[in-house]
Amino acid sequence: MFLLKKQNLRNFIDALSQNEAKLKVIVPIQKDDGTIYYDEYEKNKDKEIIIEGRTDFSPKKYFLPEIEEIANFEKSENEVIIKEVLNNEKRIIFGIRPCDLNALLFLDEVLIKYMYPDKNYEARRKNTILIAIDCLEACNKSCFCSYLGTNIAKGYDICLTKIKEGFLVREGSNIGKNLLEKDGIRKILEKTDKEPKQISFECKNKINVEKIEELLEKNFESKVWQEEAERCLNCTSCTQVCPSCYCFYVKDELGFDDKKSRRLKCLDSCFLDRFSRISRDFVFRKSNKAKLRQFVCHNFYYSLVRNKMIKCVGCGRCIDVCPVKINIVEIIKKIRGYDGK
Amino acid sequence: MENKMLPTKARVIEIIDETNNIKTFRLELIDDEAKKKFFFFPGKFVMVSIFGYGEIPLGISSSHHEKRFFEVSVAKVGNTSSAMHNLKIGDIVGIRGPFGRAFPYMRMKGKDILIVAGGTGIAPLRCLVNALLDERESFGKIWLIYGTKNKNSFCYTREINKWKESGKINIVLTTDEKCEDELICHGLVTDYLDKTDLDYKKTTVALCGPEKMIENCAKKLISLGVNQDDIFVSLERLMFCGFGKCMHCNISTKYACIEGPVFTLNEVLEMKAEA
Repeated sequence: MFLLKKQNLRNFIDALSQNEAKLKVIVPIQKDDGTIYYDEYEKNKDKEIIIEGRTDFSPKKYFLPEIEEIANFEKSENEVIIKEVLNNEKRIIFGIRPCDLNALLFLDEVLIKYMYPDKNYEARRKNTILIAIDCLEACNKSCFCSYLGTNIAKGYDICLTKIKEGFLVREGSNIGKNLLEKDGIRKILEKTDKEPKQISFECKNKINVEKIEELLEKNFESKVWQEEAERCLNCTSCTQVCPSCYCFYVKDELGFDDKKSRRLKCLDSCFLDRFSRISRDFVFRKSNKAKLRQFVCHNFYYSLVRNKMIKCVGCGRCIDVCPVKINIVEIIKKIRGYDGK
Repeated sequence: MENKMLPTKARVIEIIDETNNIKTFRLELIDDEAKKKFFFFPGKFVMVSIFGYGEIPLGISSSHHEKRFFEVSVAKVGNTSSAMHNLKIGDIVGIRGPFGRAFPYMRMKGKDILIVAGGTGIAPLRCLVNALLDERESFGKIWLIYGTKNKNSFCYTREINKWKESGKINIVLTTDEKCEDELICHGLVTDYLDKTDLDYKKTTVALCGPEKMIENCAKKLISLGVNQDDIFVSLERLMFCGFGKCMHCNISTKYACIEGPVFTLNEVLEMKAEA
């Protein structure tokens, strides 16, 4: 265990960004409009690094960018050359919160471990070092991570815990251990016997996920879906801010001369008609009710059955961005209330 | 592990105009390794890339006993399928797969078989029919009921005539619109389900077609006494990956690209109505 003094936080990040492997350091900062998001430290040295509270956006874009080239094709007279495109940029994400870390663990399960791996996600994941910051209390009124166990940091390379004097720094992997031993970094840290306190806070937004897959299966036709979905605008804000939403579509982009083209993997949203549209314009999930149910059931039911994990990490972002105040926790509560009646 | 999102190349070696809107493409994989590994049973699908225009899931329509090439049939309905219709012999397409679960071909052996196709739903079933006829003696009675909009929308007409002539299979062709041809019946496929000499309690059924047709056929078949576990339905869904990542083919806890596209009727009924 190391101690990083409060006044040395910047030096620590500077040292990370000056290491020999030429890793890009990504940090949470605040935009001029007030949004807290992740960006390159190098470009934002004048900005404060936000180490407390939830970030408005998770660092998902570094693993699942909105649009990513996955292959390109070059046609000639009698041949086509297919090239694989993988992102090999090395990064350190500093300040990732426990909820977003847990979202990555879920994505690992679905996109890497389940069946064949998604090579593009896997490459980005392997090339990223994660430096987490523990949450010591519920960071806002919407989050409900403590009821899902996603308030505990897991799967990090290094983790920081805030204490009075600064931060306790611990390693979570060999990569993290090696990084902490690097000259420029080691000298900023002091050895300490202190241990971080056990994390045991409870969020205000209470959710009961006991046997939730059974509850949702049983109440698939519940009137709650219609009641809640009626006002949905299909704006897709919820799926955009969700740290664990990963659905994608693939499209080709043709060059000007018909010879070169790129294949793009783009994030999609289950709130759109195009999500379930097949030939002859037939849309399977047409109604708002069916779309909202898909979103909620994927989070709390399908993921649990298929991947043995709840997809939702309880960050509460979807609740806060919804322009018509659709609230995933309220939906579950309402369904439980109606259950068996 | 290899990148499953990367296609391997196949050359178009023949193009057959089935109707004014449907073409069949005979494809040969270029890479020998890929060719050796390419193995499927009727009902499986491949992702076909038209480079620069996109990728679409298509059921394989040729018999799995044919090892030199395979065929896919496609209706001109969207961007990618339209681009595909512009292909010429010798052009190169991309192939990923085969993916998905097939009809239980091996378990069908010794059984009576009823195949019901609506419109372009014939494509994966043509694969099944040809495979069954390749090993005709291994199966009981075989019936095909194939319905389309009108006389001009039948696919594989030359082949169907050959099937008829062989006497190895009973075929009912039917059209929604009335037509003069005395060999073609008038009406929906559901009207002819009970007009066979099959022992429905011991029959295995393979279904593919529009959602509405599947629904009505299922009801009728159950009333005729077919066991729900013996009715196999091939469903159409939007797909972008083929191995459970993109979520577009997700139906309740199932994925059409992994547990499907061929489901038992029981499974389909368990997947709650989604509209």
